[in-house]
Amino acid sequence: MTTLTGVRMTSRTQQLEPLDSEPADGWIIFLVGLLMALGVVMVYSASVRADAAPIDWSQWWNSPLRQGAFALLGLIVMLIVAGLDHRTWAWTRRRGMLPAGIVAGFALLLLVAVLIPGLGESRLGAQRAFSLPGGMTFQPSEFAKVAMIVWLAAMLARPGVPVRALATGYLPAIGTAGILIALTGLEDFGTAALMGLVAFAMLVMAGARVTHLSATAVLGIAAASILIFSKEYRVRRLLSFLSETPDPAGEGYQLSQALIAIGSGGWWGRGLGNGVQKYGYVPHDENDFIFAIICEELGVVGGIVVCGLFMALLWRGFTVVRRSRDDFTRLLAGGLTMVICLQAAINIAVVTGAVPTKGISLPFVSAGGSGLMFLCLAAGLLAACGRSESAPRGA
Amino acid sequence: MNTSSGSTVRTGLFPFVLASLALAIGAGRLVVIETTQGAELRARADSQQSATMPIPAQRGDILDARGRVLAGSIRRPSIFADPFLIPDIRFAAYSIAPVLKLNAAEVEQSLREALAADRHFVWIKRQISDEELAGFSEVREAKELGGLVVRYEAQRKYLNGRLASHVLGFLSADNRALAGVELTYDSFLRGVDGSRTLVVNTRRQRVSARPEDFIDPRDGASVVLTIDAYIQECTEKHLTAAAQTYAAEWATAVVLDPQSGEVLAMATYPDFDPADPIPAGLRPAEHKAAEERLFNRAISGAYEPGSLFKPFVVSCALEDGLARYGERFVINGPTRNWGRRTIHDTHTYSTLLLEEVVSKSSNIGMGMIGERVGNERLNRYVRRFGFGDLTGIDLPGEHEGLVQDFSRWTGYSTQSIPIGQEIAITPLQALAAFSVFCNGGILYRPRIVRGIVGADGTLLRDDSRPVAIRRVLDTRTADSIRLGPLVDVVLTGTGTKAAIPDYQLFGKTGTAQIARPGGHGYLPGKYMGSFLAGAPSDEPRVAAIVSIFKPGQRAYYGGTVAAPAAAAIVADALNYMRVPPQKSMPDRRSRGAGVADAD
Repeated sequence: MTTLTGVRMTSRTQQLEPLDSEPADGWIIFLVGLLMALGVVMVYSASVRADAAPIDWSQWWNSPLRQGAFALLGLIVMLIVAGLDHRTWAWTRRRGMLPAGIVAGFALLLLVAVLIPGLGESRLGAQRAFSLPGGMTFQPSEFAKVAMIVWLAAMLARPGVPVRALATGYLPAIGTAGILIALTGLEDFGTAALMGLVAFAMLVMAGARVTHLSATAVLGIAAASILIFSKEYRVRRLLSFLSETPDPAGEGYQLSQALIAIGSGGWWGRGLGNGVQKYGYVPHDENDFIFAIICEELGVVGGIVVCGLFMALLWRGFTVVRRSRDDFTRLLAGGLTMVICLQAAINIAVVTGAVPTKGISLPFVSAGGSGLMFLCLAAGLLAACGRSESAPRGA
Repeated sequence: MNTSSGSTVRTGLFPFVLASLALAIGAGRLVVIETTQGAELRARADSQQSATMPIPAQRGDILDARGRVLAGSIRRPSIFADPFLIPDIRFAAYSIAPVLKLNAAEVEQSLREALAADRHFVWIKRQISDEELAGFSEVREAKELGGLVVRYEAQRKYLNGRLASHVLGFLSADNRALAGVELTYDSFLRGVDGSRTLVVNTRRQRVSARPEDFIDPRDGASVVLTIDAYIQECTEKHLTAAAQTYAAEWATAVVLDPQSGEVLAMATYPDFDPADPIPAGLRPAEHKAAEERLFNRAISGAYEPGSLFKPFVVSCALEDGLARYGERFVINGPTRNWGRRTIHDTHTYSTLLLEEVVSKSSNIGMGMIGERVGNERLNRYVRRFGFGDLTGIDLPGEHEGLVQDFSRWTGYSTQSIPIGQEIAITPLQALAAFSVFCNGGILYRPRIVRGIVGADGTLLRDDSRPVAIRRVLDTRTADSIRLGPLVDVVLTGTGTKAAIPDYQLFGKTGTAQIARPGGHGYLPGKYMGSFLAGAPSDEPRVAAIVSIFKPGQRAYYGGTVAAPAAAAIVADALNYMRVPPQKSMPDRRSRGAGVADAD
């Protein structure tokens, strides 16, 4: 990879401007660091058990300290990536789509491999993860959503291939992205839906024709329906969500417990560490439903602050997009901002009962290993995109 | 900001606006949830997160008149289980069964049944020993068994065993009062349970306490009885001896302070163990017998009094001047007809003085007195002596007796009532009415409770004062009956076996036929022998009744089966109460001669 660093590349290519020594976007790194710090605290709080045993240092890997280790590792990943030249992955005259292609191809390979029995691990009715040593898992979809953004940004930023041209610009882009989305959707509908939304947003940002986009939306909804009805549990979740009185002990249990957590927090919360719903009432309280625990302990106000942090991230991402000087950076930054903030929005919508339950975590806050790493990678990439903003134009 | 430097790519504000809107909607949802459902959700949180456990109040004691504890409570550990919290029921059952001396298979089965029936509470074993508790705790710790909980439960202790069992009553296995003083004074004895509330996790394990929801239990008050444990013990001893000697089906005795109506002892033979009134594992017949033993015969059953009733009728004739002492009645026994009715005497008398009609218990003489008094007056006096009314004693299940409504009295009644037929009374009613002769003519309500003392020592209720219901007789009439005919009963009449040293005892024998259950007529050869006794005759301090039901031996006369026991009880009570020996003992020879051996 070092041979592909920006400095060397820029000296050999004419489209790319020389890499400056200026820093990456500090706001993004700061906001992500803040969210990860909140995550470490909240995951620690949510993992407390009634017997309240002290931490066994020989077993620290199975304790809340693990989230702290991941957050630290994530921070390092983010800082390293932020220091690299994101334009490595852009289309160049010399190598064409090869760098982005390698990334997308690798994602494709992993998405197929996870479906092979024996390689992928089946959990909760879905086969979407590889087992790693130390009890960790790795979901290819986590990687695929970043890979798709890199690939799509490179595709849509190719000079001389306008996205408005259906055959040469639009169709190849959505076709290739569609393959990644569809493969992800087989086992992980939530991530696929997120990827679909991000891809659509990138096409809009690339200036695609409204007619093309409309047709794509119709096709996308049709594909989503097929995916929903291909898995029995998805139908059940959907029906439970649509039901006026969901069975509190069945499919609606998670949501009703999440709402009880939010309600019992009131405006200002029960106070950090004083939540009760984390004692077995809210399932997945450290992961997908950490937001409910935040609301219980820190109140509606705490929940709004979290929403505000993601809106700040969204605003900062938009600033990066607006100030960026080349199409690739613009699309890449736009896609990455979207993927982080839309994931947060969907997670919050799920926890507050606005959309049906999906397996989607709250970025940077929910407990998790590989998912957090790839989100940090995405955030690092976004921060890197922000670096060019203050670089002198046409240097 | 849509385009820049001629590129085809636009900034694309639109997706950012939508994403920002989505996040804002999420924040807005929080506000909506809080304002529209906040209170309801908090109520649901509270109901699912809290577990309230009772803190049982300590049940009050039952004390005798001198403060001796007859019934008290201790706390014993019991073990219950929530089968839903036991991961491996078989493992748990077979782990704990040996230390608790239980059958493992049965424990497992009861847990599985509860699981199937969706019950979260199963008693494993109640009121275990300290040894069992230690063993259980060790096993539970070592094998990390969940779902098994120790709860301390109150256990009632009757410190004198079976003493006064019919008075004290008993509790059910779950400490509900079922009989006796335990039942009538349950609201005082019980106290008020407190509770503590815990915040619990989904496995109902403690997360934290909620001190603001702690409710302190209020311990029950103690009830002080008029019963004296020693007199009770003597009473039971003599009653049991008499009942066993004459192979009685049952027997009962009551001892009263006739000047105040305080019940000093109340006993029924056979008795029972209040700690285990109906032992488990009895055959149906034994079970029925055990149930019958719980019956307090002194108050809960009414029987024809027979000759016991004669002094009451005579006193009414004397009170209203319809007869006088020294008056001679022409008997011409042994039988006499009133219309189609024939009245028999056990012995053949030609004439009898009024006193002798009572002391020799002449049925014909009583029939003649009944004729003089008349139904209307008889009915009035029967009611004034308290027959046909509850005495008002503070015990459950009192029988009011059977006195026919006056409209149903017939010509037969004129002769039947004076010899104690056509009427049924309880032994306690008989004794309360008998006390009228001892205290100068006043009917007192028999009382068994002197007062109630709160757990903090304050006096909650003082019941130590006598409750006079009414004056029944003029003092002179009452005293004359006692000093005349009733003393004669013991000196020369049917109750000579009741004579005791140092005190002149007075009384009345009664041998009643037993009415056929649920029909007319009497059981042939079955009797209830009774004796009403009081002493000393100049200033009575103790009155007692002993009734022996269906004595199986040849003897059945009240003067034989009941009088000695009654006399022994009275004598023991007087000695215990340190009543000085009587100064002037009536002389037997100065009274009429010829001892009757029957009533």
